[in-house]
Amino acid sequence: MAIPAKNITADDGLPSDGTKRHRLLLVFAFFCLLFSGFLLAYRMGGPTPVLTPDTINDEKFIRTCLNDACYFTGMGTSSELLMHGANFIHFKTFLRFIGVSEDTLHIFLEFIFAFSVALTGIAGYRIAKSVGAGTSALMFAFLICTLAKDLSFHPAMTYNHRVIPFFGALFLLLAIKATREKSLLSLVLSGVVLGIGTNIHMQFLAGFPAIFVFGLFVRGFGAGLLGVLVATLTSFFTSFEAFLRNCAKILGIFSFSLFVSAQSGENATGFHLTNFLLISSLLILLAYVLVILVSNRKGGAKPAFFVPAIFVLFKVLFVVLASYLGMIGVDNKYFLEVLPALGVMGGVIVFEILHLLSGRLAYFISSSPIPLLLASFFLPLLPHPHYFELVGSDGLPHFTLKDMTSLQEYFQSLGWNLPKIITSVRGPSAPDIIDFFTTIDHNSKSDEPRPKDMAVLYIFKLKNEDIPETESLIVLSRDEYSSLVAIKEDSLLSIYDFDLCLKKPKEEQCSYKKVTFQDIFHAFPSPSKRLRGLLKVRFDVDFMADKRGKVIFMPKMKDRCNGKVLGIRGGSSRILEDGRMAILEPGGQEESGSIEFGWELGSEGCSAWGYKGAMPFFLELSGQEADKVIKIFKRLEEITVDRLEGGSNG
Amino acid sequence: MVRLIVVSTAMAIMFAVSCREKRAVQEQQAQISPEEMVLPPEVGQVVEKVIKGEELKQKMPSGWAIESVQIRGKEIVVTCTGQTGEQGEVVLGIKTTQAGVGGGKWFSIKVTGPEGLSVVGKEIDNAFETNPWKPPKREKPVLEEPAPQPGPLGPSPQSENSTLPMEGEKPHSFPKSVAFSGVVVQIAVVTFALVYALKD
Repeated sequence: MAIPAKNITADDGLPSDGTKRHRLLLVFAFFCLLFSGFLLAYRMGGPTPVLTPDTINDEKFIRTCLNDACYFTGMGTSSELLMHGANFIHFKTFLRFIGVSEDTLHIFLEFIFAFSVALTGIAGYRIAKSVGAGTSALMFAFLICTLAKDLSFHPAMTYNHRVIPFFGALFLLLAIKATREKSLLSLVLSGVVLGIGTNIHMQFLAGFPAIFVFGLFVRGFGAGLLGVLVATLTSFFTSFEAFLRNCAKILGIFSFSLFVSAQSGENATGFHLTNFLLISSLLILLAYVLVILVSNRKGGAKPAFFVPAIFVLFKVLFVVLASYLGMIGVDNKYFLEVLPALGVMGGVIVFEILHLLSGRLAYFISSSPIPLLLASFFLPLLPHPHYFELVGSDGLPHFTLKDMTSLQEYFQSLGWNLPKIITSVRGPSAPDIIDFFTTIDHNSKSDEPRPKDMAVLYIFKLKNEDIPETESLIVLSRDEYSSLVAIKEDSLLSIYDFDLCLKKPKEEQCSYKKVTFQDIFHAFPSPSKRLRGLLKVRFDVDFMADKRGKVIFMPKMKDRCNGKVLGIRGGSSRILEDGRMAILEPGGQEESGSIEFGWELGSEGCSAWGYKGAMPFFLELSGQEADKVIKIFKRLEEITVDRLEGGSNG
Repeated sequence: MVRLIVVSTAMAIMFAVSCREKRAVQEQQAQISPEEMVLPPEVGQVVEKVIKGEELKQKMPSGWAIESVQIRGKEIVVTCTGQTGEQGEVVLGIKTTQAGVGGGKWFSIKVTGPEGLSVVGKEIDNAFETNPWKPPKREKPVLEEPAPQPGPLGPSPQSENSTLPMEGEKPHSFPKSVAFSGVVVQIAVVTFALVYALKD
């Protein structure tokens, strides 16, 4: 039977869902998509989550909430002015309470990712049938894989961003349903999902004007207001305190931005069109409008067609505006919730192009579940970073929960009590470990260190091929890619008793304050994007503790606060390599001396990301072993620099 | 659809109950001090593999051979004999504060006889990739809830995004039951929205 090609468009609902057998095949194809999505998520996310300062902060919150002190406010946002709701943290706390481990939560979040792939596919199917479904799911997964490569979306971190694509896909699906069926219930539900999503992550704010427009499509102005009202009330009821604070901040946001601009004479972050997803969104929006205009649509395009485009458009406007005002820097991570919409737009574009080429071909392909099955097949084959690559993406591999277990066993085997070890730990991930153990180990007892307890413990992960053959390096655990290693050294420095000062930019000098073991955690200034100044720390050096001397080395790490040795006194000690290295060496009759470190807070080498509000990182190593360890760190510096340059060129 | 929801809910409840039981066991294990740890029977397989291996035979002091191995709850005792019939003993025990000297990663190593026999202890110690010491099994787990401690724990936040509320602007805190009620309601609403969105 001949089919009139000119009438075949997705909007007309062609082809029909057909027989029961056809529908069953489609359901099967969507299950295949779900399975493939999970496979992809597992390949990227692995079996156990990685630990980062953010997840460790979540851990603190969970512990506090389990002790019956929960808050409505959660993590601070990137802009410093707004605050996320605590919904996701409460969710994590609830799971912890019923006994779900962090590993299980991680696997559950991988399943949630699979669900967002399937939901994107279904949203694509509602507009552009199986061609649209398959392409939407593929494109969405491709964008996620791209984001995972530069870690804007870390698929192995149990953090609120992991559920954002799911809420974005569900919101989109409900909004499409609302506009297609003129359904107020769907609109209300999409408002509820938007409200909850906003409390999980503030980047859903762009959905508020979008839902107003969707409401206009459904039942006019009143429905638009209803959508916004439902989303607002949901946001209010599920996290009222965060909601009120954020409203107050948003009202004053423009004046604040202008104030910051006036103070610094420039926008805080600036706006540069160097962002992959921003440019992609603009191009896809343009292509989308073009294909809808060009396609031979009978009676014009239906509102459901515009739902993903409107969602993306408002997102682009929000990000550009916020960036222009200096509230945030343009970053791929701010587009997480619109990735399903971008995927669906890609699906529609492909369908419409196919339709323009041949209506019969479009009908033939769209009437079978083959595109969906093909998408399921290709999904895990998309170029994506493997879990083990992700774990080691910043030069030094990330810690995982399994590493923490090994570490705890090691600490127990040493027979040290935990607080003593915590205060002795210094290393690339030291603040994380300090935080983690201080929080999780409520059984440990505080014990002030005795003068002889001057051991420092450096804990970090290295790729297996980077591990040097030194006797001082202890391998605590090893997997096929990386190893958790420790170096234990007797320190010459007075690590529990030092002088600290912060010289602010316009000040000539600063006055030192004495820091002892009791106030070590609260002595350092809190990290902030506006914190500027030279942080100076001065230790006494006891040359008698080890007469062979020590080497101080300060590696340049991307995610750490990098500093210099400012001064050194005693024996034949000296500063080398432009302050990055120092030799502590006794000489003559001098038994003691001092060393002063400096970190330029707010500079490129020590950003708000790098400085953690605790003692920044430096290594103190024994002379004979120092060369080998320093060599590894210098190699890691080169790798990081190569990656950064490669990234910026790309 | 209703059946699906009922079955899913029942499965979720069963999952939650099983997780809760597992957590109780984990909490019990967490309260055990290192001195109480014991060696499980599976340790024998690893030890057997080491003492039968060629690598150890090559490293043994010349003329010495392993005579017997005893694996007890708190120690592994390896008895060795020399060519002239003299005996030596290597005892791998739990690692304590004093165990720094002659200790491996997981065990303290005590050698009676020639010092070269310590290689037996080191090889056995190295054969374990993870800690072989496990908490003893108790019939009834005794749960002790930590004392309620209002306010944030630990040092000040160290992320770029501060998590816990700062001093001076501390928001209202509320018990976890309130938070959990909110979570359950939100899960229910999102599940309903999901089912409704999928319904065509």
